[in-house]
Amino acid sequence: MIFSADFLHGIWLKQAQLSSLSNREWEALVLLLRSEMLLARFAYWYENESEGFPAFVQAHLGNAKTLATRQAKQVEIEARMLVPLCSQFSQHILFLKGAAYTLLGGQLAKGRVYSDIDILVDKDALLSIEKRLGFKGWIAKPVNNYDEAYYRKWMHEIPPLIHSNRGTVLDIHHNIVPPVSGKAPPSAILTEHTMQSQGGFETLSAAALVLHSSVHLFFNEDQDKGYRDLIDIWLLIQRFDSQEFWTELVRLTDCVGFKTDVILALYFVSQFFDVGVPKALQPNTLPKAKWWLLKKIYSKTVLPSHPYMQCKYQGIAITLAWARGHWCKMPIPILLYHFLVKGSRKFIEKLFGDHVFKNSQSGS
Amino acid sequence: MMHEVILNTVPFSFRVTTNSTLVINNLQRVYGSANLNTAPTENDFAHYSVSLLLQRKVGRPWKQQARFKCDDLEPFLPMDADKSYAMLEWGLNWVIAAHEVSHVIVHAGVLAKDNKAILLPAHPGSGKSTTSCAFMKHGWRLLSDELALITPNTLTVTPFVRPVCLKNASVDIVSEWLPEQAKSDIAPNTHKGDVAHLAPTEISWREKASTASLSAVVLPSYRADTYCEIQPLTHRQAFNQIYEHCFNIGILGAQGFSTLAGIADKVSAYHITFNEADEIVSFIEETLAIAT
Repeated sequence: MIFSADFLHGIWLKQAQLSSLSNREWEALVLLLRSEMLLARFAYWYENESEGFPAFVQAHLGNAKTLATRQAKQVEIEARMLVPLCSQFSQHILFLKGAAYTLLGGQLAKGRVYSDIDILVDKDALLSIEKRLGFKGWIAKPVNNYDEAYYRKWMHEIPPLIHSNRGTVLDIHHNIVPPVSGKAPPSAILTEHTMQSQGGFETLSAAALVLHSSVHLFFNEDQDKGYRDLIDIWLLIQRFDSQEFWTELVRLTDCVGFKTDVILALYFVSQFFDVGVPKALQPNTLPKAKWWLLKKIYSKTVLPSHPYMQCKYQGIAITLAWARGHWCKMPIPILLYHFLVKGSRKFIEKLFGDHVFKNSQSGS
Repeated sequence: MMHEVILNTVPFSFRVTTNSTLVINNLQRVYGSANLNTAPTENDFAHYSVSLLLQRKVGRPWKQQARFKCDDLEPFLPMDADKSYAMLEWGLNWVIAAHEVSHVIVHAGVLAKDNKAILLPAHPGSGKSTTSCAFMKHGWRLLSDELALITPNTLTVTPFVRPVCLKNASVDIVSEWLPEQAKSDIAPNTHKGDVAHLAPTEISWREKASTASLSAVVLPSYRADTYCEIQPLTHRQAFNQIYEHCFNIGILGAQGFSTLAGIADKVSAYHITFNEADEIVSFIEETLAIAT
């Protein structure tokens, strides 16, 4: 009932022996996939083969597809409403991550589910957009006062907004990494690398989407849902594979950085799903010792962290990746302050329960 | 001690992991051993996996708290340990309402006799569960006390037979009506007051896999000073009421809308203010020409 990494990769390569799974194993697989937000992806992946699956699995896949279809439709509706609301303040309204994949359509979009819509706008436009959206029912999702300040002062996004009727959650970014890290690229470079979806929405270009997904994965303190992100990157490569795509990706890493993160992402995609990567983006361009350590850590953290997943020493790797993620994102004095506040809050939660900082209405 | 059991309810089963003896005892009592698999094997599966764990916090070691989880989700704030069984029942309702989109799900009681089903959509505290029990007393079978599973674009309701949640004074009243039925321990001082879960009648269990067809909609609303006042609803009023109690219309969209509109069009609906639930039963049996 514990699945190996090879079995998991085999699912997407259609090499896994699904027919030999017991009922109990199927149940576990559904839980694992749902927890990784991959159940709908799986449902579409096996749309033509699922007749042989146990009935209860088919029922879950049916539910997952219904939910994914609904979400995709909702995202398109939201996008149609958001663009006119924001366009008078910001020259570009770029859709990022999941919303971008949905709007781009095709295999990439099929069954991709997510919890919020991410957009990137000009930094100067943030306040006006937030105000404008406020009139249209978008309100700030309750976060505690520390987190509010954390977002506003240091981060590349504002606290998430939630639509008061529709419940959609919106993350508005003005960059792809926190400016406080000192590594945020000038946003003009990002807005140069864009493309249009068939429906007329603007997203990052394929190469920039790969870069952003890699940054989101590795230039970050947690790799939660990282496996899903690797599948996205794989599908992006499959769809946009061309000389220009790779040239653009190399050039992007040369001018905005994050080469290590891109190399890491491409390395795992090539290992898991058998994809070719150009020489300039292969690990041997990195110092040997650094690469050895990064590989050791991240080969564990990109796998699902789940009771049904077999992965030794994953806990230690997650802690190390968490430390590196913070290290990348924040300068030391800010990092120390952040740990002090977060740490003491964690301690109080341990003592009085996880729900002590929530207000009493929010839970039930 | 940690227990892992499979609750074989139809059409959805649950794998329940718990260290609460109260939960295990009440599951045994209310669902009976026929519906409970206490030693699941490799061939057994459950649709959903939940846990109800009693934990002590370092800062509050004298009191155990019950926490309900489904996958990594925790929909409720922790409750005191003596409410753990009620919490599990509410949790199971939440799991289905939050995950199932193959049916249009309405927050309503459903009962049937001669394959004719009535739908009782209602707000908490309106006397829905008491009304359900009055119907059971008169030989109707329970399909569900909380979640009506309606096949899209039909009048067909799939049973999801589980106990009825009784609150405060109705616990004793219903116990007199249905003295044979097993009852859970009382969970004191919940947000709904003192609650107990009552096992459905024998015929409800027996027919737990047979669907029924909707024949009437009744919106019960209990009022101590009104014996029985029946007000027929227009199609639009009926639609609005069912719509308001539908959990997943937002996800099902057009399909959900047409299902509810179909019900409002084809089935007569009544708003009944009452203090004597038996009157609702006789009215419905008369209207639907059901032999008593």
